[in-house]
Amino acid sequence: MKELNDEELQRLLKAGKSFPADEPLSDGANAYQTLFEALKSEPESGLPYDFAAKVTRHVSAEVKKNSEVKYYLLAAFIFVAAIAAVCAVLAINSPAQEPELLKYKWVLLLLPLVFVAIQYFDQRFVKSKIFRNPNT
Amino acid sequence: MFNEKEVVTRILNGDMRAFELLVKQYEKLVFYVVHRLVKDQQAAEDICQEVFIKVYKSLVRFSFQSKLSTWIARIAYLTAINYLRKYYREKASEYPDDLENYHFTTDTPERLLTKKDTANYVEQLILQLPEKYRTVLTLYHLNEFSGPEIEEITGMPEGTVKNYLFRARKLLKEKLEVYLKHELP
Repeated sequence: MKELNDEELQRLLKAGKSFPADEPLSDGANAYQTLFEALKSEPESGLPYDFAAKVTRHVSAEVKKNSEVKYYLLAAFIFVAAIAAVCAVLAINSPAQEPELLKYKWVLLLLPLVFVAIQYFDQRFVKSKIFRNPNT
Repeated sequence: MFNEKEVVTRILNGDMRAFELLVKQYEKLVFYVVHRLVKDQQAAEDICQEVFIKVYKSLVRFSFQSKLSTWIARIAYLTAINYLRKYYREKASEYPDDLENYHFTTDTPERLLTKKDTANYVEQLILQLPEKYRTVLTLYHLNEFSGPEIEEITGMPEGTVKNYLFRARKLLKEKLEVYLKHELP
């Protein structure tokens, strides 16, 4: 058989054809055949068996965290809006004197901010640590 | 059978079981790409996780213009390359243009005879090749992507992909020829 060059040998093996069994293989052809088989073999190391579950848990936790943050911000906004509405109603009804509630307006505004801050730090430092610990 | 359109729709509707199914389907593909570029096992695992998080976040923009596997492989390739650039500053310019003059550090086959089998020996050689050669060999032989698909994943022209494949195989074959001569009685 005519000795094939590198290009021809590669093309033959790429097409999935095998060399004639009745003729002895040249060193080059044998090396190429072994190489093509080795290139198809999977690496010995791999991902842990529970990799998919771990990634899914991670993504779920992130999605949950994002929706919780949105929920808390919405709750805080509704709270502030309600206080503002009450203050506005009181101010319209008795414009001459300052309503009692307005004296505490800063406390009332601060409350939702503290609430949101607590939730934020809880997510950031407590729940993320729980998630990272594989035993929990 | 894995129906990518159905799975993607379910994920976009918030079905996390469908997402787990997608991860299981493509974890090998992602690992092969990342593992050949990033040799550290722990780092490779972290990158694989990052890839799937990116897949989840970007899935809403996937418009089925290409195969889902090609799209995920591209994310894996780019994430691994970014990691290398960030932590290893491995640049293509560090390698010679003519691969024929490339020198492997483990030049003596005797040293690698302890590596029991040929696949292991080839794996060791591949890991020493420049990153682009490693990538095309993995995508073509292990992940069974075609030339145009590899072009889509890596951004290299198809002609360059074919050229890299040919040169890498030729170089590996030369090394393997010597190895087989020493290995066989």
